[in-house]
Amino acid sequence: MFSFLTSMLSSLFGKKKNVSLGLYGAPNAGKTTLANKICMDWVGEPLGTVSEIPHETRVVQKKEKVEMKYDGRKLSMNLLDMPGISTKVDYKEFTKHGIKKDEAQIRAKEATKGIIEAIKWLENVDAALVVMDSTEDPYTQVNITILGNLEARKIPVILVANKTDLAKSNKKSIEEAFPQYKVVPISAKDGDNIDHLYKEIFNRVN
Amino acid sequence: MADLGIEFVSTKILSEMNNNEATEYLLKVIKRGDMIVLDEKLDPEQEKELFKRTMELIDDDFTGIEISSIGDSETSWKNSIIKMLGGKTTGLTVIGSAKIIKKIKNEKDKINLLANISKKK
Repeated sequence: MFSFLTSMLSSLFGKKKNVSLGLYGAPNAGKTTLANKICMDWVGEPLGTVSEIPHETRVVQKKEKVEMKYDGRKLSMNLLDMPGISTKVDYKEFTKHGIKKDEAQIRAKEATKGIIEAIKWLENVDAALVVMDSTEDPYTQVNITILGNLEARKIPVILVANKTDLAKSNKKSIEEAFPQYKVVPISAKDGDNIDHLYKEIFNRVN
Repeated sequence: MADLGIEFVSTKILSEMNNNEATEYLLKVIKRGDMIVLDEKLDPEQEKELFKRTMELIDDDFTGIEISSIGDSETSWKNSIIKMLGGKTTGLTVIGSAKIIKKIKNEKDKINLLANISKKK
C-alpha cells in the first residue's frame, strides 16, 4: 500500500528515474570540461574532448545513468553535453587555429548541424545547467534565447558561472544580468566549488 | 563606399505570418546585406527558429547573424497578459549579417552596434 502511494505521488509530481540533464551555453564556456568533471566524479571516466578551438563538441555527447549521491539521497541522470550554441559559424575562424581550409569547411558544417541538434534538444531535457564563461559579458542573445526557451517550458535551470580560476572572472555580472536565476560559481577545470553545484542539482532537479 | 540599408519593421507584419514565414522574411533581408530593426522582442520560439534556420543557410559566404533585443521577457506574466488581450509589448530587436556587424552589445536598456559596411557584398 505504501509503495503504491509513493509511486502514485512520484508520478503525480513528475519525478523520473533517469533525469535528462542538458549542459547548455555558448562555445568555449566550459561545458565539456564540466561534463568531464561530473563524469569523472561519478562514473570514473571522462565524456568528451576539450579544446580551445571553438565548436570542438559538434554532436550531443551523452553519458547515461550517471548516479549522483548527496546527503543520503540518490539521483540517476542522463548527462547531455550539448554543442555550443551560436548565431554564426565562419570556417575562417578555424583556419586561424592552424586547421586547413578543407577541414575547416567540414568542421564548420558539422558545427552548424551540432547547433541545430542542441536547439532541438531544448524541448527534451528535464533540467539544464546553462554554463557561462564568467570572464565574458553574459548578457548575450544566445544566453537570453537559451534561457527564454527553457523558461517557456518551465524546465529547471541552474546558471553556472564557470572559470572562476581566472583573474578576470566576475560572477556578479551573471547575477546582475539574470537576477531571477540561481548562479553557482565554479571552476570546472580545478573542481572549485563543484560540491555546491551538486547540492544545487539535487535541490533543483531531484 | 558600400551603402547599408536598414528596414524598420513593425512586428504586426510578422504576426500575420507563421514562424517559418517570419523567419524566411527576416533572413531574406539579412542575406541581401541589410539590417532589420523590429519594434518588439521576438519570442523565444521565434528566436529558436531563427537560430536553427540560420544554421541551415550558413555557407562560405553567409556566416550567420548577429542579433540583440531589449524589452521584457516574452514569458513574463505582464507580457503574457498583454499578448492575451491582443496588445503590443515594448521592446526592440536588431538583426544583421555577422559579416557586417562587427560588434553588438546589449546593455538591457540599450544596444550598441558597430557595423563594418565595407564588408558588405
